Amino acid sequence: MILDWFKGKKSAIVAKDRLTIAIMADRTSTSYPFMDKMKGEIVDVVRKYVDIRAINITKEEQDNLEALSIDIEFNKN
Amino acid sequence: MGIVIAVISGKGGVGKTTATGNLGLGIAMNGKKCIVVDFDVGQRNLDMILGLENRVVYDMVHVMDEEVALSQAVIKSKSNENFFFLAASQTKDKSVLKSSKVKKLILNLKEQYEYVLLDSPAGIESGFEHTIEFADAAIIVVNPEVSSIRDADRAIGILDSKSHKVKEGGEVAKYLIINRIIANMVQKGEMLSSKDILDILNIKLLGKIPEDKRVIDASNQGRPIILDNTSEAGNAYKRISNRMCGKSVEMKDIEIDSDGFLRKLAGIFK
Repeated sequence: MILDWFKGKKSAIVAKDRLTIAIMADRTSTSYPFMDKMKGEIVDVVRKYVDIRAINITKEEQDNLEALSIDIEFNKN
Repeated sequence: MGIVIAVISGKGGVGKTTATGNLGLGIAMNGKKCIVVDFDVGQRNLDMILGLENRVVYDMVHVMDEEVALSQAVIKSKSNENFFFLAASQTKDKSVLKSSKVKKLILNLKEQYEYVLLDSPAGIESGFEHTIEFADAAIIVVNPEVSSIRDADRAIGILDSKSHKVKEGGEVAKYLIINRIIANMVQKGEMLSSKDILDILNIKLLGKIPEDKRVIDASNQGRPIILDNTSEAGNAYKRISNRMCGKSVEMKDIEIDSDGFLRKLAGIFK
């Protein structure tokens, strides 16, 4: 038992600490499960008209409202 | 009207299908008419756990597409007259599941069986969402291991947002099963305890199942472990199914290694 003192924290405690932090971050996620698919579909539509350089979608929350900001960068013609 | 329970996990390989099969049979052993439905389209496995793979002719997609009647596709267990099984489709792709068809199938099942257990696919994709959509309750199966617990939390989050009951202002009951607990590792602080896991996930505990090598032997033979009276995991499944049938069964502390920690402790005082 005394040997354990020198070995540092028990791995179960480490696991609990790491999980608590990871799950808290997951729960306040700035994404939706469908985000990647939606992003792909938006790219497909916009690409018909312009040459996309980058696309960035973010989820925003305020009170009981959720909003999506979609930033699309493309090259000057 | 029966109750519909989705068995989910987030991560794959934690024993979800084994749990579904054994709990279904355990409920039937309590004299309740119970059906287990494999919702893992494309990766049918519950038939193997139950040893019914050779008897599958029609599957749930045939029923949903109204190619056959439900009664034609349902397989009756030989070991218990209250136990029934409906297979997943193996050949068609996952997009075959449509919300309206799933709803119709589930309502149909609810009318005929007291307990309807749905074996959900792993992950949080569309197949998973269809399994939870019309469920009254969910059982989340985890292993005492970080990736399983994190993924379970994600699955619970989606359950809360996609469930039909929640959308209608109700609540979907959630219960946790911790599978594959190794007592002496918990005692040494090398494995998360059930208390740790409940602190993190914050849901009700339905039961704990110890790691048991015989589970593999049972699945090799297609004979559910719950039929083995000498198996610790089998007995744990029995306790959980009894609880699901409304019996009050004490939570056995399987996290104390009976021939390790306690005996050593007793030895000190001799």
